[in-house]
Amino acid sequence: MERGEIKVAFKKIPAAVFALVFLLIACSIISEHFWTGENLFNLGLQGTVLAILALAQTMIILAEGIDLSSGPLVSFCGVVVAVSLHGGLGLPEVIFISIVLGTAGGFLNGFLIAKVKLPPFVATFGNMGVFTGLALVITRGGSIPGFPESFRFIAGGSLWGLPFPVIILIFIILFNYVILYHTRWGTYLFGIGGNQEAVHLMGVNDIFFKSSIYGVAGSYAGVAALVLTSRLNAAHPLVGFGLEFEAIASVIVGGCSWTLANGNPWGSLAGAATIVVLENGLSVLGVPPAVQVVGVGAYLILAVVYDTLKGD
Amino acid sequence: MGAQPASETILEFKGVSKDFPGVRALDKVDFDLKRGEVHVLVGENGAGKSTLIKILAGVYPPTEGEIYYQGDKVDIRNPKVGLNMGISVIYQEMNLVPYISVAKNIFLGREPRRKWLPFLVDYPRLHKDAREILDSIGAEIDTKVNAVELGVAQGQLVEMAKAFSIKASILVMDEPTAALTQKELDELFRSIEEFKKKGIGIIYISHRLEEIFDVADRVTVLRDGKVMATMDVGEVKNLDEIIRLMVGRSMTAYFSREFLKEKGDVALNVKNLSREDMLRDVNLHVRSGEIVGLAGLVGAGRTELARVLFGVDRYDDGEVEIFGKNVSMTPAKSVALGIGFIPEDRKKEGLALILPVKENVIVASLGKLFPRGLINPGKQSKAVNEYVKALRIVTPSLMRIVRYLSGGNQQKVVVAKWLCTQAKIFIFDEPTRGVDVGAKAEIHQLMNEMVKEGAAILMISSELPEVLHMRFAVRHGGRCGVMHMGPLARIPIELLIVVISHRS
Repeated sequence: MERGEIKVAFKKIPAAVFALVFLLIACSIISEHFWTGENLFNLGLQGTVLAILALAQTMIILAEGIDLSSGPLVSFCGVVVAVSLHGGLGLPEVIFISIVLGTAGGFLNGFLIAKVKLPPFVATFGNMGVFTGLALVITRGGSIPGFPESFRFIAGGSLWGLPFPVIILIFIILFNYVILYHTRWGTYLFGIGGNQEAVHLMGVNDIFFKSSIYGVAGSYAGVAALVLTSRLNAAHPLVGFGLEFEAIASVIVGGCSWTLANGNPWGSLAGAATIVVLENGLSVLGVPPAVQVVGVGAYLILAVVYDTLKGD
Repeated sequence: MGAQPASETILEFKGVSKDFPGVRALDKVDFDLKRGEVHVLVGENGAGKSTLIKILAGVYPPTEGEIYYQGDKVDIRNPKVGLNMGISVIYQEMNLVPYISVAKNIFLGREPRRKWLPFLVDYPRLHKDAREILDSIGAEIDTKVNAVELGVAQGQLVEMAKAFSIKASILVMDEPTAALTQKELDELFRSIEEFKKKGIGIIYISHRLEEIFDVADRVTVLRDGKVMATMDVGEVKNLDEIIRLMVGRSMTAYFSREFLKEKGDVALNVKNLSREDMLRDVNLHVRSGEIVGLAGLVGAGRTELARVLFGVDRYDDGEVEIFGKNVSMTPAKSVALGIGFIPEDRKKEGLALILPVKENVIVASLGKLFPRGLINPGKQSKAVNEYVKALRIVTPSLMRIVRYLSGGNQQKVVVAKWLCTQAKIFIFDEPTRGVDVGAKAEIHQLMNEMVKEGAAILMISSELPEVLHMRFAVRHGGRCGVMHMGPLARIPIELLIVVISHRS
């Protein structure tokens, strides 16, 4: 590569990748426990939920939307899973329920946005309230703890030396890659974000495909709900609160643009990783969780400032 | 120029009308297309050409009337039905998806899929088929690059490849030549000949009226949603006849230009201006009461010069004098000094599209009119009204959102904005791009009137006839030549540059 090409290639790397390298180095300096198996296992556990939601959010942002309701949808699915488990349903049934419910919730967003033509911000902002409210109604405000061993395997088990959630994440990453880059659906997703009119004029049912993007993203929330509920061994109506913020932050620091479907899931995964490592590092330093949110917010702004400056 | 007897009618519109809220876009239109013919559709913007095309493609349903395809009555409910019938459209505005590959764009909606795993796209076949189509139109474009990396002309070629990849029986081309080079044009006309031989009917829309004689078998003129005439190209005596049908008046008023006997002082004086690679030693001056035309090819640095003069971009070297005073510029200073900039892309840089006429006209003068910060609505409306009337902006009210105005009227709103600031020097960058013949004439008329009032105008245009009859500054390759000339014959711009480089 010539010098100019290297410069261009360097510019294409989103802030999240540099931040990740920096954070990993910083964390290994401040804590000798960072690279221990236990801590990495925990990171994997924590990171899975966020990474899954970040992938979902990436699809939606590529399609020129935004999903503020993904955190509450996770809470809602989790609560329904808990009630179903306590009602005696088995593992396959609750997996099915959580994913279908997530898909349905996503499709509701998609219908309002693609068909009713509400702005994504408004539709998902409204459903943020709806999903949270439904979760509160079901639990009457409290939490539902204690699940059978089989369900707790989802987050607590391990396979091939990896935490089971990480296996789930790897599967979702593969699935996500295939649908985005090897199916017509993925082509239409980039098409709807980049130039919906073009897709429409080529005889594609763009309204349906646009709704389905939210539906698929919702199914990811259903999976995330299973992992989170299993990890906490309890369901709480407000447990997903703030997850949408971290997911959106992951996508932004991952370099995905708000317009024209310019972006990819890899940056978002790096973004999610930085946020999890950042929070982990701050915990090690004894920073309380509330202040950690400040850290994530500041990181988000710094990353965008970096991306803006390098653009010139 | 038809290669085979073209007689069989493939498509017929009978009494087709289309109403939009408050507007009748098409009014009982009868139109037909035969196999193997090129039927050119002309008319001003808003005459109904695009509406007709969109009804044919299944984008809009007609309000009334019937459409017959190969003798059968059809209902084209959506674009898919249209595509399945073999109606392929190259739309005027680019319909490419930026961040997917050229190949994916060409086969958008018709992606080949793998035999054994039908939900997966068959990439090898996709790229192979895309390559074949691109080769057939002589386009050397990598099928794997994303569309966002293409230039305008390349994008248009991909758009063409997309339309050609459909097994079409009717091919619609809406302004296909706007951005093409001569070589690509030749290739396009050659393709058209081939399509004709295959018996494909072609509907061809163009603003370049001269093209009628190059491609047409028949011409239909639309005006205000009505068909004014349909004629064989052999019956057309000259372009003036067509223009008269289009706009209801003759060509003579089109580029009329009056000169002031007494020119004023030098308002804008540019000395040895340079910026990076784009501008080198540019010298020109504009006096009050005159228009200086700036011709030159796209990329010659014309827009860059305009931006520097308005203070949007910095310059590295040289001097700019406004009314004899040497100044360094920012847009705010330019406004204060009385410069108005009518940018090339008025929708992006000249207007706040979603705001009403009133706000758009007043926006640059708020500080001047209301120095204390509180807006006096009566005074505001009065000021705006004055310029809306003076410029004859056609708008139902001052509260009309400018997005809904026609191109010509939008352009006038931009001009009104600067008149409202009491500007004395105006930089017009491609003022008539994308507006129709009638609006073009009006914009020229407007510039004439402004000059009579003592304005100094620098007008940049890539349409040579527009800059003829003016004091002349032609730029090419970053150098700028200024010449005085009287009326010129119409000559190709390349030739003009040769002439000018000889003299300088």
